Amino acid sequence: MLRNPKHRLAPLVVAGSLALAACGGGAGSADRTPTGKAQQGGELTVATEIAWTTDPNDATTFSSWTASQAIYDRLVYAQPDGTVEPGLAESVEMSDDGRRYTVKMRPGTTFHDGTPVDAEAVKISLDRVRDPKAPSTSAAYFASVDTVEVVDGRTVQINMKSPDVAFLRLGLGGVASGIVSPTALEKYGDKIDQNPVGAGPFKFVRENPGDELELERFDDYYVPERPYLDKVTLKFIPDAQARYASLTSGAVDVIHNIDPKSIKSAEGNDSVVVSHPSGFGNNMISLNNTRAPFDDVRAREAVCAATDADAINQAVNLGVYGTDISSPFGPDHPFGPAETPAGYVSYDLDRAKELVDELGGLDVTLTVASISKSLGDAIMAQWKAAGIDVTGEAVETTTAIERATSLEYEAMPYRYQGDVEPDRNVANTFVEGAFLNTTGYADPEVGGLIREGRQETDESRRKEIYAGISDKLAEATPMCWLFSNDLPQAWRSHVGGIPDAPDGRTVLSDAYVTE
Amino acid sequence: MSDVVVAIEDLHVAFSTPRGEVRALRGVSLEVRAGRMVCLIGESGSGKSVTGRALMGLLPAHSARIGPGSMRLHQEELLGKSESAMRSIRGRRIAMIFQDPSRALNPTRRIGDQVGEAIKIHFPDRRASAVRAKVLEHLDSVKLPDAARVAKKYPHELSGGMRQRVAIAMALSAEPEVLVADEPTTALDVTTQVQILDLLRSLQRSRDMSVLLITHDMGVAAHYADDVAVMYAGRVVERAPAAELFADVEMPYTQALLESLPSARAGRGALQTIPGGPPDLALGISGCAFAPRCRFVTSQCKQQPVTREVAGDHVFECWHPVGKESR
Amino acid sequence: MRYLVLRAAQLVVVVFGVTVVSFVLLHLLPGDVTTTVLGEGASPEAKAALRAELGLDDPLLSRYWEWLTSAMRGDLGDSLTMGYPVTELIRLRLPVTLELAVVTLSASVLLAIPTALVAARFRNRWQDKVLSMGAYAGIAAPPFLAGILLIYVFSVKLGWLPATGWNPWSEGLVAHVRTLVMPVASLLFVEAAIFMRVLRSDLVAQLSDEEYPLVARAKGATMRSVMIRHVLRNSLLPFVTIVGLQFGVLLGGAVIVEHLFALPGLGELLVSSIYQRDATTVQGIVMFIAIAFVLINALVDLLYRFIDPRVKQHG
Ligand SMILES: Nc1ncnc2c1ncn2[C@@H]1O[C@H](COP(=O)(O)OP(=O)(O)OP(=O)(O)O)[C@@H](O)[C@H]1O
Ligand code: SF4
Ligand SMILES: [Mg+2]
Repeated sequence: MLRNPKHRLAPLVVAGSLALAACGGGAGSADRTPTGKAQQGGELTVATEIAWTTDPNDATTFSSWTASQAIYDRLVYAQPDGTVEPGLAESVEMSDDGRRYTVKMRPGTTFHDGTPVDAEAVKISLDRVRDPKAPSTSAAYFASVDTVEVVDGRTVQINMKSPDVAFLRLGLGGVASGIVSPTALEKYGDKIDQNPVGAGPFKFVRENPGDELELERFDDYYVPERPYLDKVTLKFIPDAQARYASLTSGAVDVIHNIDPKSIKSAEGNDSVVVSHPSGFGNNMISLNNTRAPFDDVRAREAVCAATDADAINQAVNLGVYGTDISSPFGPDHPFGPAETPAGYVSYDLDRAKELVDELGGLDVTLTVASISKSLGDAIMAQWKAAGIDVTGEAVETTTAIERATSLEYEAMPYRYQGDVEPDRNVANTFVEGAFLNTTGYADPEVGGLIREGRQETDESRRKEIYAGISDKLAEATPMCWLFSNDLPQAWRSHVGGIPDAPDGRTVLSDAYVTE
Repeated sequence: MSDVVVAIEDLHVAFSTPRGEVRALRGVSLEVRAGRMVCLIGESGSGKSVTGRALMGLLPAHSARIGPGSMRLHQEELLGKSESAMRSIRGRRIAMIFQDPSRALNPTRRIGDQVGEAIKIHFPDRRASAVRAKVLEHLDSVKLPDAARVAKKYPHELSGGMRQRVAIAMALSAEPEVLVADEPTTALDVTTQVQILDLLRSLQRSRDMSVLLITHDMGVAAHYADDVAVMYAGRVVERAPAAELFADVEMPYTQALLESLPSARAGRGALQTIPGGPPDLALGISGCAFAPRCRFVTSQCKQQPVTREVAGDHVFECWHPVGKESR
Repeated sequence: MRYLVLRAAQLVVVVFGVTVVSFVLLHLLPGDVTTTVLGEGASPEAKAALRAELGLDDPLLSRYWEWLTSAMRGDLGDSLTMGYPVTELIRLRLPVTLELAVVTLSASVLLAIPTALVAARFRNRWQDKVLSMGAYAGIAAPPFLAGILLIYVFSVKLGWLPATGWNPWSEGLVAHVRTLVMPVASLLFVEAAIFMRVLRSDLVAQLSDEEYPLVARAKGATMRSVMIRHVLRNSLLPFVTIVGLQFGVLLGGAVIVEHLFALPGLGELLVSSIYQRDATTVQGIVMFIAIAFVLINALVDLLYRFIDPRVKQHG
């Protein structure tokens, strides 16, 4: 459970019928609460898989989100269960037509440098995200924003070009709403990433870039008695095995992206706790719908029916990732379909063989990024069993991405991150010409549903819309789903207060250690 | 004879090689008497160097099988002596000079150090200054101009002749009584050859040293030797005082060597005038090893010829001697 | 003097050549830094804007020229992904890599010399066979596997040493050494084995092709003294050459070990920068390593002169 006391201070008010943050929502993790009680003090080291940047404007990875969120508090937080909780903003109100967001700031909060967190600071930060000269990596989520206005010392009004419900979670609830001290911005300019100053639970002490980041408790954090920890260190340990060894030997307390083998080994280790929520996005086999053979739906159905995701998951991930997927949404995604859509093609070897026969044979080249070789091998073995004539082609990762997005391939294992905001899972992928549309799928009806979903303020109506999209996609079978895109973490059993995070980041505001 | 310094008797040496066992010495007998220069002469591969190195105890321990036979320094048996016992003899009592002075000197150490090394080894109590003085004395004695300067030089800064002089000084530095000089001039030009050999002989005389001079040049033997020993295929086939030998050659091989003498003076390749080549020592040899090339060969030569004495100090092995003994 | 001019010319040529080649190669690699910075899911517009901001769309030649001229002034630019000045990144990471390289090389040399001497001295006998087999094993055991094994035994099972990380000297000698031991150990055997084999084979060649070792023995010297005082020094030329070479290699290439043990070294930075298409960082490090290579070469040359008196004449 997400024991974040922030939202007890004031309820988040959102107009229309957008979900109100409710205390006690979210995936339960009570069984893993450490035996000791939360207490003040102590230190924690988090081992990350990739290097980070602290600047919320540039954060695109779970390492960066972890670093950035510790230093910069966001306006609001989009929770894994779909709820939205207040952060620096006391409330966010959306107008009925979805064209105006009014953000009311919490009174009396300050940045680490003492500057007050006021409406002006929020405007400066949000304008910085959209600065055309140096746009944020999150700028796309702010694309519908027209202007940001300071109404009074504590109130900001965001005027939208068009209604955009996704903006609440992706924009205001995203990393880029981490508010930066305007004083520091003035002083450091584009060197702010080396001298980060926010209003988050921890302040910057020192960084050895690409290696180690040291943070210490911000004593004037606006949440009473938080954070618990005196000091937090991020440590870059790229190798998965070394990361796990560092955890078990006690050199670090939390590790990012624990690998399947280590998850298995942690099952028998009392001093290690694995936090493994399913990811929001999925792994799939992307099929190029725009050219032969996969311009024929029977060919797509044939390969999908030939694909035993469970067996592949077993072979590649020792079975630890979720395979209960039949849509672009991860297994536990709040906007995913309640049950498997009717037209969904699941594993059925006989059907696959029939379809291959009907097609008079099926000849496929599977393009595989060299780091995913074992995955490619597993897929090929299964396709061959269905009588599909498959040839493998190994390419470098960046090449794979380029080939996929420019539709120059036939079939390719691919994955995407996804978000709790469902728009993120479909808008870039299943709209004609969208930049992550690796299948070339183009159904105007689905395009319309996606647009509708982004503008619909009624939450339950939204759920229906995304279920409809899932149904449509199951029918068309533009790609074969494999397993969820997970970023499990693990920590030592004396660590508590870290919520399960489907996107792999470590939220440190409530973290504590018992001794 | 009491003035015999080195006596080698029926010495056998075999090497284990990938080709099988090479029987390099097949019963060598040789004497070096006090204050005399003995020339050991023979074609390439006849076992001259192996004989010299056997005497020094410098044959490769793991591939050479030494014995049966005997090698004595005065009355002391050297065969079977321990390595450390041999070490105290090497350099101090028997020293050796090698063929190629450019390979015999360590290119990275100063001349003075290299000459002084044997002194330091055998007289560990000597002070550095005494060693240095000795080094200069020895460099002087081999007629190197400006010994002090030479001592500070590296080998590459000297000419071939100077290097061989250094090598001699090095060998003599611990004042040995026996010197084995293995073709010390082969690598040098003709004028230098003569200078070095003259120097060797004068040193030998002034120090009353015994020298085993290994050469394949009969001319050298004729000019410098007190005694001559002729080797063929791992055996000494004829030996005698030089005057005696040149007056009366018994062994056909020695005769063939002598016949090639004038051209030997002119340059190299003289010994190749004997048709044919020496036998392969890896194969078993029975009878006279020279038989395949010998003008006088008979069926009797299939037997190993017995060693015969002309006078007490002239011995040879042949069934059909060509000198006085033929009568 | 002529020598210095020659060296300086070499430095210019090497650095120029290496940076041009790396610049072009980096340009030819598919994908660019905008994907890294913006993430896989970035829109083409955002990428285009970033490309423009970073000047990635300017012609290759003018980009190189710009880089080169500021590099001359000691400004290697800012890392495209981390924002820090590249000189600063190198300054922070060089000590780690340098120490890893120097300690590894020293330890390997100390291990290689006696083993090579023994192996050459007892060539083809059991001592040689055992040591040579050890060297083969050392070369065959990749540092990565060695490292994993070390971590498993000393961190996970025994808990004696930290599995990863780097404690700088400022944290005290013991803490520092504790993080240094396993990385050095995982590299040690390969390096020592390489050195040992090179040295052994040259010692053997000296012993069999040259006469001076025999001459020394003829003076009554012990085999031990022959090996150490005569043969070793003459075999040092190929030896310092390979040590110098490996020094250069370790400066840029202890990547695997730096990666495994999460050491903040240059190699790890170089490789991750290549993956991320962080051109300025790659360029900066490549130039630095090229300069280091030339300097190491000069140092090796200097050592040559010190070791072998003949070199002066030809040099
Ligand atoms: N270390 C060794 N291992 C194997 N065979 C050897 C070895 N040393 C010498 N021989 C062999 O012993 C035989 C005699 O060699 P040796 O060097 O004594 O000849 P030599 O009379 O000195 O000839 P040269 O005039 O060429 O110096 C040759 O057949 C040679 O191949
Ligand atoms: S024994 Fe016979 S073969 Fe041998 S040298 Fe005398 S005559 Fe010639
Ligand atoms: Mg010889």
